[in-house]
Amino acid sequence: MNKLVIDNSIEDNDIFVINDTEMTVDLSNTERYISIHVVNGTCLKGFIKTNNTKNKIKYIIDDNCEVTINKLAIDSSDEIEIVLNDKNSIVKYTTSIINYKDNIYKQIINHKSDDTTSKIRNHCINIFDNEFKFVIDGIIEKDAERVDLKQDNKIINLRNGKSNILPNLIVDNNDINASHSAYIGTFDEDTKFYMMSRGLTSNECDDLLIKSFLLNGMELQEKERDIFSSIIETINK
Amino acid sequence: MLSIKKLFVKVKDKNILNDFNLDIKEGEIHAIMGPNGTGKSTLSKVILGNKNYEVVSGDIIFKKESILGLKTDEIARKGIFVAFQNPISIEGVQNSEFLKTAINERRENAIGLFEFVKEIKEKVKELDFSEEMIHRAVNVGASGGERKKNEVLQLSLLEPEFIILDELDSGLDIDSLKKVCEAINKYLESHKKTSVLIITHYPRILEYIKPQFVHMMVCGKIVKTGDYNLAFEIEKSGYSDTSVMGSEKENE
Repeated sequence: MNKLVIDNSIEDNDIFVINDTEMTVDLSNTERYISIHVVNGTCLKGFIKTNNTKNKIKYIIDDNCEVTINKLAIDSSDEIEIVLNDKNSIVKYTTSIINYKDNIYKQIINHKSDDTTSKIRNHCINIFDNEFKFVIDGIIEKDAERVDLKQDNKIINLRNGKSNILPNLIVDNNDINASHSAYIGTFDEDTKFYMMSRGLTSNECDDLLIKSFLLNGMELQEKERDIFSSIIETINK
Repeated sequence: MLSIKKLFVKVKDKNILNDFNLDIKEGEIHAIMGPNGTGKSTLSKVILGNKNYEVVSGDIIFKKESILGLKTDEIARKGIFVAFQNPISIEGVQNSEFLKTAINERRENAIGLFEFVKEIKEKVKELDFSEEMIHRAVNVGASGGERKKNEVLQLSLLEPEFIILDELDSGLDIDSLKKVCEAINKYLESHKKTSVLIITHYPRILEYIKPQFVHMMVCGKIVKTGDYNLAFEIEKSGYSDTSVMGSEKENE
C-alpha cells in the first residue's frame, strides 16, 4: 500500500489517489481547501487527526473504490464533501469530535451514481457550555439507483452545552435505502448506575463511556488506537 | 452485617417500602420471596443508593455504619454487590477494561496484566464461558443466560462481602442456573463470612443455594419469616393465601 501524509508542512492541496493508499492527516490551526480524487478501483484508508481547523475537504470517488476514513478532531468547523461519482463505490466515514468552543461541522454526501454506499458516523462530546452543530446532508440524485445511505449522528453534552443536529436527506430516486438517526443528550443514567455499582467513580464511568463513544465503530490499527486513546484520555481531567 | 431498620421509601409519591426491617448476620444466607411489584428489586437499588428512590425515613447499616447518603460507588467499594435482574449492556466498553477498572478501585496497587488475565481465565472456565467474551463489550449481544453468568464472573472477581442475587434464576435454563449456582457456592466456600440475600419468585434457585431464612414480602414489607421450608409452602399456597401470610412475624 502507498503511504500518503498530509500535514501543516505539506502544501499540496490537490491529491490524486491512483493506487491503494494509507493516508495520514495531521493538521492543526489550518483553513485549507483540499481536494482528494480517488480514481477507479482504488482503496483509500485514512487516519485523520485535526485540531482547531476550518478546512474544506472534498473527496471525489470514482467507480469500484473503497474509502474508509477514521477521524478524530478537536474543535473542528470543517466542511467535508464526499461525491460518489461512479458505480459500486463504498465510503465509510467515521468522525469523532471533542468540542471545547462554538463550532459547526458540515458534511455533504452526494450519491451521483448507482450501487453506491455511504456509512456516515458522527459523534461529538461537547465538553463545556458551548454551541456545537452537525449539519449533515445526504443527497441521492435522480440517476443513482440502489443506493445505500446511512447516517448516525450523536452529541453528548458533558455539561450544559447547546447542541444541534440538522440531518437532511434529499432523495430523488425511489429504488434506494436511506436512513438517519440523531441523538443529543447525556450518558444514560442506568448505565452509569450499573457501572458505579461495581465501584467505579462517576469520573471513571465518564472516562470509559467517552472513550467508547468516540472510538466505537472506528476501524483502527493498534498504533492508531493508542494515538486516539491518548488524546481522548486528556478529556475530563 | 446488614441491618435495615424501619425503612420507608417512595418514588414519585408512591410508597414502595413500608416499615421494612431486615437483619442479616455474617455468613448467613437469606431469601426474600414476594409477588410482582412488591418492592423486592427496589430494595436492592435502595441499598445501592440509587437516586431515583427517596428514603423517607429509616436506616441501612452495613458493617456497623450507615450507608444512607453514600454514593453508589462508595457503597459498592464497601463490599456490597448486586447481581442484577436485567444487567445493562454497555456499547464499546470491553469486559476486560471494565473489570480491570473495577478491580483496581478496590486495590492499593493496580493489578498486573498477567495476574488479571490468569484470574479472569480461571473464572471464565468455571462458568463455561467463551474466553472471547473478555474482549467483547459488556453484555452487548449477550443472551439472558450470558448476562447472568457475567454478573457472577464480576462477583467472583470483585470479592464482595455481601451479595444480593436479584432474580438470578430469570432467563437461565436449568443447566445454566446449576452452573452459576455452583460458581457462587464455590465462592461462598472460600469466603465463609460473606452473606447473601436472594431475591426470587420461585424456590428453584433455593435448591442450589440453600438459605437459612426465608422471608415473605408483600406490599413493601416482610410479613412472614421462616426457614427453608417456607419457600415451598409459599409455592404451594401462593402469596395471597392467608394461612401462609399468618401473623406479621418479622425478622428481628
